[in-house]
Amino acid sequence: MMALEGIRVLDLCIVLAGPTCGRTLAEYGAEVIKIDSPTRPASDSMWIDVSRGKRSMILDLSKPEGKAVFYRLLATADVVVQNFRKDVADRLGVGYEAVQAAKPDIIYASINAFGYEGPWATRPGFEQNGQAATGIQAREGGPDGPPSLAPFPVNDYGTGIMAAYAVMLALYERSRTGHGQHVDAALAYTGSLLQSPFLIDFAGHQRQDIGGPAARGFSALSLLYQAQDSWLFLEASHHDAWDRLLTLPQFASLAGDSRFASRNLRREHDADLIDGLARIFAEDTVEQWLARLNRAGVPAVRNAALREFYDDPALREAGFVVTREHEALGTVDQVGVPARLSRTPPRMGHPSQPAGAETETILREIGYTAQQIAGLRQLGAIPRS
Amino acid sequence: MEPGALRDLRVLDFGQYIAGPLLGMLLADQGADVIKVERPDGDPMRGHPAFAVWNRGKRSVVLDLHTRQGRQTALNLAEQADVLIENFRPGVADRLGIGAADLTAHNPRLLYVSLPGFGEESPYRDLPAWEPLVGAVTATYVHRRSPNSDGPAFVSLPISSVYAAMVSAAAVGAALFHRERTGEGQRIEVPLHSATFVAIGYRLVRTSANVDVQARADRLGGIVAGAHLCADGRYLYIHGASARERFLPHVLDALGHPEWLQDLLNQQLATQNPDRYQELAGLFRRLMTTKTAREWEDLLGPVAPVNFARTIDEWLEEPHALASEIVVQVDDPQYGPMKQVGLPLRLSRTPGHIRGPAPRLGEHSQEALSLWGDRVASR
Repeated sequence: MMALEGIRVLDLCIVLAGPTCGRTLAEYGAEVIKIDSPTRPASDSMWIDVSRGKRSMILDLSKPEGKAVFYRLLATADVVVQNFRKDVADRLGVGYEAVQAAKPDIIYASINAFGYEGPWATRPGFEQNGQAATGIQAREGGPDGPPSLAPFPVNDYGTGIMAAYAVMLALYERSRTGHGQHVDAALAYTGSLLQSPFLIDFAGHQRQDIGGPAARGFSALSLLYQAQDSWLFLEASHHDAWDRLLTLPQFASLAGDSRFASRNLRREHDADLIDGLARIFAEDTVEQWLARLNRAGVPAVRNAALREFYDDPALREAGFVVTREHEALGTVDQVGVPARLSRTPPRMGHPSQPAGAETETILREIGYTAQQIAGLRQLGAIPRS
Repeated sequence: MEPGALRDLRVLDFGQYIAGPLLGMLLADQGADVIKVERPDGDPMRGHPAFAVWNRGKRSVVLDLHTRQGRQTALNLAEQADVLIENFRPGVADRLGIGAADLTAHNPRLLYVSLPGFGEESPYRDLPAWEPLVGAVTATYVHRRSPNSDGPAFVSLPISSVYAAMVSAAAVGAALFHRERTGEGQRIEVPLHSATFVAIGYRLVRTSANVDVQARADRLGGIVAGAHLCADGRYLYIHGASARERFLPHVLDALGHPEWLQDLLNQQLATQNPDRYQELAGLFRRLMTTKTAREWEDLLGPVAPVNFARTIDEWLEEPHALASEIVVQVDDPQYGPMKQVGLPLRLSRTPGHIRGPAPRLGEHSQEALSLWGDRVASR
């Protein structure tokens, strides 16, 4: 049995954050119907990543007949997820109040850029806006440079997961009390959670923001170093890692150096220690260093690049990188599911469908006749071809 | 205070550093009763202000798991717990006598959550879960070239730890729903390494058919999209969607230049009419330098995805962040009134709340045996 078996989700979301919520629910066994508008192009890499495991349907909610289909589907649904700007779902006639009136115990999840309260509640925004508004872009740009993005769409995916968490809490609540509710998650909430170690202020607080293209790490012993061939990350700032490092003959010159004789002195002479270590690491290859460091019990790893992941047997074995045959796109590589649950293991679900693949099937399931479906087609409530 | 959806839920949190405690926080904010079990010298994060955030609303009990008594108290508490959190290295919890097999055998309803750095099967399994090590192996530190640097750029956001906490929170939610329907507990494992792949996401998508993964990024370029230097030397970030049909008319109306619409919507302008393209690019660049970045955000932000690249200090003061409780203030016994992140998800009927500041080390040790009722104390 899957954890969310028997739960039906109507997913009205586009781009990344919103669809990630539905994808996560699908991974736990919910039946997710992704409803896209006829004007929405699909099948780029984002679509491939966040539409997997979902049944795809195309429906024009701006047409009364399209909306009627939505409401017939709603009668069979437990959850609705949408990521329109605030007020837009209301204007379309699928806002929380209207939906709840039709289905009183519905769980309705809203995902947007800045949340549903406060002066920016109706503002539009994407990943990059979430990063700009909350301080991530400025930190990544560094003290002297133009703003820059964090390496991954961390707000989008994180917000989708937080929304899925909210939906599951609401399902748990409904199973105990029978009540549904409105839940929301937002890019700016997630951007703030990601920055929680820095998003702090109190009297006398001093913050040091580390970022920018020249940032290599926190300190000499927690830093990226360039070896002969490529880069490694040395993490020797904890416990007895420094002493272990000095057991290696290559670092003998540092052992006798009075500037580095204690933790406090090393902090004081951090720049000198970086210089000293950088000179030593430049002498040999990453592989040589990792063999030595690991033998000495000093944590260090190669600084990886995404392109290496496709050919890493350990990542494939662990299911982080998965290759599957796709109906329309041939062979597709993508990420797997991250959580392991002993009784209700999550699943990737089927590869993403071409947009609208199940429009007719779903209509028939909820009782539309062939003639009625042809009528919807003619009216443009579903695609004509 | 409004009760959260996790009222009545008992969480035994052996977490330390970031990921484990943060999962505990995500549960506590939703109403769970979280007992933080600390070793005699405390969570090593104590002393870092972020400790106060990630451990807010919990109770602290010191147990020395290397003693029989400490272990016994832990086992007694675990029998009363709904959720157990640990982020030791693989195998350590077993050695300490609080492994999943034993505990779930005694308490079949228990959700036993492990957040190691790397999974049991990983070649890195014996590495400690320090965030930068996970960051390096998950390609977080991307090569960047700038006038004063050429190499991988370190990222100080704890992406892997926060993702492990978020992913495991959703897993706990799913497992609780399952338990409510079947009575079954289970084991949940989310390595930080694994969780980071969610964030990598579509960047890893590769197809044999010719779907260009960069296509989206490329078509969002041009004159309007991107970071623009403003009058105050700060940058305004204009999202690519602002340069297209949906938002551009609103942007240009606000800028007072509706006559630029046709040219700016023309994706081929640079090749069809390079002079006009250069002229418009110059006009736009100069226009941006006539107001401060914040003034532009106030003007354009309501109608299009446009924000200035503010610092985190500015976000801490931003009226929207405060009004929407993305930034909240907690009275902390150590730091005084302390601004910090609010609840990162909102539920209308069961909104949850911050239950209080982080506990002092061992603040609740004396009551440890009676914390969860007589059944523990009578053993």
